[in-house]
Amino acid sequence: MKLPVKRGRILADSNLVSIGDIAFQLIVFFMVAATFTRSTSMNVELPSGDDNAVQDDSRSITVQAGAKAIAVNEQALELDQLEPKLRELLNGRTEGADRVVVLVTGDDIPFQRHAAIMHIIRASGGVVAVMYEEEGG
Amino acid sequence: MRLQLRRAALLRDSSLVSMGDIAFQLIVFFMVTTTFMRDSTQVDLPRLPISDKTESPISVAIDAAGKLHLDGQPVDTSGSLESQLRTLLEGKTTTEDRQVRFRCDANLIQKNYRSAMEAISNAGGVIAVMHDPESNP
Repeated sequence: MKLPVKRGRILADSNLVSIGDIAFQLIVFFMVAATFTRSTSMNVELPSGDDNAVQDDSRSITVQAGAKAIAVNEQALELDQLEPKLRELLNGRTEGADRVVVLVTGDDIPFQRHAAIMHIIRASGGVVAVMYEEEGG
Repeated sequence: MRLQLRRAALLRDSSLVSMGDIAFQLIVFFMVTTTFMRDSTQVDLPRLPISDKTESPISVAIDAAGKLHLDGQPVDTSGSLESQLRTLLEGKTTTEDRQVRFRCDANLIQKNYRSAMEAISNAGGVIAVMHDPESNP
């Protein structure tokens, strides 16, 4: 009669050990899951300095953006008007080179706004080419 | 006496099984934490709708103070960043392989992050702008 009582105690100890094990597994799982949800990105190409093909093309679309103002082919508009305007301009253009939208940004533009405009260009079917406004030009 | 010997043998078996378990847990834990160390720089990423995903192991970060980091290590100048990136990207030909995770603070203005973007591009990298997923209203 004495022996079964002792064996029962051993089993109870094992359960306590596995609680720590399960807790650790859950910590690792949530750490990994959190990494996956944050790994979203958007690819951007910067044209090289000697690549003038994009600039010389009369059909090219240019978006100029600063901290507050935004313009498409020198026509000022609001940020929420950008996507419909680009969709209209890109309509019927199927080739990759035809779909390039040159984004020229001023040095005062915050990264949040810069990234949001790049995202709008991609969402409207354009291929983003980032360029910078030259200082004093 | 015979009964005590059996119990001792039983306990020894349990220890051997859990040792393997613990070793495996430690391997997983260090693998996960190593992944986190790569992106350890605290950055307030821009919020955008989900676009792409990247698995690139190379990470360039710019924190709120405008300081440059390559794979979690501080880098003094964009010139140094470019040369280190050239070494890391050597022999990589596909777009996926040439992707560089670009983690930039959302509130920084272009003056602070432009040189880093140019350094990635000049080194032959494809900029993968990392962002947090925008929460739907």
